[in-house]
Amino acid sequence: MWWLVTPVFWWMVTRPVAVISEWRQAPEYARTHLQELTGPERLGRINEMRGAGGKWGRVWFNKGYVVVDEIFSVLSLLSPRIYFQAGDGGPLSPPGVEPIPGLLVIFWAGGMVASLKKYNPRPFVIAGLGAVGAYAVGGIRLAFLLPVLGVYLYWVEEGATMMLGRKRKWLVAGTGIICAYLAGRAYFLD
Amino acid sequence: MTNSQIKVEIQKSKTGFIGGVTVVLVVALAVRVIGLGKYPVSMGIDEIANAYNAYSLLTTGHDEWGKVLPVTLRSFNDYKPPVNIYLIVPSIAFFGKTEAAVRLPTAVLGALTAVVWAVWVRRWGMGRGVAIAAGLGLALSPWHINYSRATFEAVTALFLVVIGAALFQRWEKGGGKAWAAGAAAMLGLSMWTYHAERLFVPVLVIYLVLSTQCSVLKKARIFVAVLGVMVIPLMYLAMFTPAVGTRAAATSWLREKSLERILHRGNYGNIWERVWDNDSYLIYRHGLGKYLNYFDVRYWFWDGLQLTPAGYPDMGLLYLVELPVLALGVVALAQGKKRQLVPWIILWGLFGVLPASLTMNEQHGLRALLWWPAFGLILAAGYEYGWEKIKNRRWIAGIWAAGLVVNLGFGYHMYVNQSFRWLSEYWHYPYKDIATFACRMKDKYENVFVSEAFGEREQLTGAPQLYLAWYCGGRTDDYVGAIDRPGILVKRPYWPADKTGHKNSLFIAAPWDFGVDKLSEKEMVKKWYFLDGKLAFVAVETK
Repeated sequence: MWWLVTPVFWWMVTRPVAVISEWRQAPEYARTHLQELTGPERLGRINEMRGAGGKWGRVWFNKGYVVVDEIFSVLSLLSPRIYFQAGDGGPLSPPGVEPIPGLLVIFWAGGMVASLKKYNPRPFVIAGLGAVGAYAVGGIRLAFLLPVLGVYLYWVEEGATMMLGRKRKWLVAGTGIICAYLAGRAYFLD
Repeated sequence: MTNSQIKVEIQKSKTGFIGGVTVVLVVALAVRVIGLGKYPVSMGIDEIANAYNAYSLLTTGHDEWGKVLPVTLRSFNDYKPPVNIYLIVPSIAFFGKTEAAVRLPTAVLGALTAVVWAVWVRRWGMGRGVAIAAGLGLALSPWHINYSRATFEAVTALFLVVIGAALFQRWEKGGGKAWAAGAAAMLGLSMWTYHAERLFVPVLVIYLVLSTQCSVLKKARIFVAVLGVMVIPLMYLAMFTPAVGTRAAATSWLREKSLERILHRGNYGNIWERVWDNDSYLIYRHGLGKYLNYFDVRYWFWDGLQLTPAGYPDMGLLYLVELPVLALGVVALAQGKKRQLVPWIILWGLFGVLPASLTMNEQHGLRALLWWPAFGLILAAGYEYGWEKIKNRRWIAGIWAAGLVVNLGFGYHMYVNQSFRWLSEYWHYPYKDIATFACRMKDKYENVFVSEAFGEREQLTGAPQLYLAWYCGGRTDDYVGAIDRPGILVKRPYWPADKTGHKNSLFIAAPWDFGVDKLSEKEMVKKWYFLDGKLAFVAVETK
């Protein structure tokens, strides 16, 4: 149900060809990403730090550092800003609006707490794997972050249920109106 | 167990906690005070302004603008809050006119924050070991140490807020009027210390009162009176002088170029633009982005501290080894453990970062320092939960401690070996040497001109008159103003016109102001380098 009140859903539904074409380009994106990872530009600044910091610089800035850096690149894909404010800046992100209405972020946080309360690790695992998958094809691309988006909407539902109970239907209705405005704005800017 | 045995156990526990808190204090002081005159490598522009104003207040009773005992210091027209500057006055009087003396009050208050934090966590009903671990966590926090060593007001303000909140709780749980007065004084004073607290403390006070179901209001006369004495003058300044508004306006995110560029300011092309591209929505979305930007694990644990230029490897606000503890803390709280902490974490978690997100700059670690208690409380819950739940905890604790040592080593390396090397220009690094050199040379030349423009990564504007007044003596007025008089003066060169316009003078300026490739080595009397080895300033004499 929450999908229906998110601008990104309607944006993608009205552009199925673009979504499929994005998915079909996954191998190409993955290849480019791998090249960037091992390219001189990616390692250049780390090498500068290695050189600048004396013998300890060489101890700290090594391949292990690069691995941890990449782990954090994966974790960055879970940042709420991407889903509740910024989007990916690409053609599959509704322009100038939030993919999910920003007001829902508080319910998203509540939903996460609700999952933890119930000892339910499944959404965390799915979001994590979704982020790893999206990372493999080059990072912030909403077409590949749909599993994370789905989990975040699940948490919105969980949070709304926990915080509002039956009144959450009013939240859905209110968000529907906001979504209509945001979608209108996105199509206007397009 | 007999009564006397219980008494002995309680006494032992108290003694153990006092011992632990002493360790927290010693560690916190050591990492903040050792090498204080050497690191940071130079007094930054705000630090030198604080130092000079404090010295001026000590020796003449007025600030650099000639105002007697001001309640807000105009400085660079940014109207600095007064508390930190007044704290520096006795330190300079006692320890002399040195960098370490200027930095000492903030460093000591930073260390005391860790002690207050440990005691406060203990009062939440946490175990002795957990409270000491929490105190050590703040004592060794890279986020807090980084700012504690350099006269940043945010450190002093955080100390005042934490102690204020702790005193309030003590008062609310049956303490006398002195606790109420102390809480109000500390919270009020924090608003005179740093801008972020001016937004956060009113929210905190409302929460503190509501959290007691307003029961404290019946006995709140002394609290309200002291808080009123502190806050009413501030409100007067905010409403009738530029002292508060100027700084807020200068740093407001509403002035950010990325937002200004898209705002219509009422000039909509048509009705559709007014509806779909309305300024209200644009402002809301921009603000939402700035706020959510702070909720990023990468920023917290990997690259938030800004010890290096953008895009270079950095370190996080928190240590990597604190990540699992934070996760454990979140799980513990979600499970209903330490329920009493939850409202505090929500309050500090949501509102602690709000002032920072209302200002310019993405993810500003200093302005967000007020956010630390949200992490501190979750970490404390995590320590307790981990200690209770994890099997083989001695092994796990040993491995975790080894990880902490690695993190500390990395933090030390980044601070001492990397940060100042990359960012020395932002610390206005060579101005101390330039000031002392100019001082030595002043009798040899008609004029020594020192430029305020410099920078290798970008053009920066310094305040050499402050460095000259601090290291050479005299007042800032002696070095600025009309240039038709002999002596050391602040002036950027107009080259080559000044070559003939000012005979027998020495110009000290950035190499690009002369076109350094057009100068011969003979003309350059002296060169100064940034710590990354790039040429920072050259001294050129005219015949």
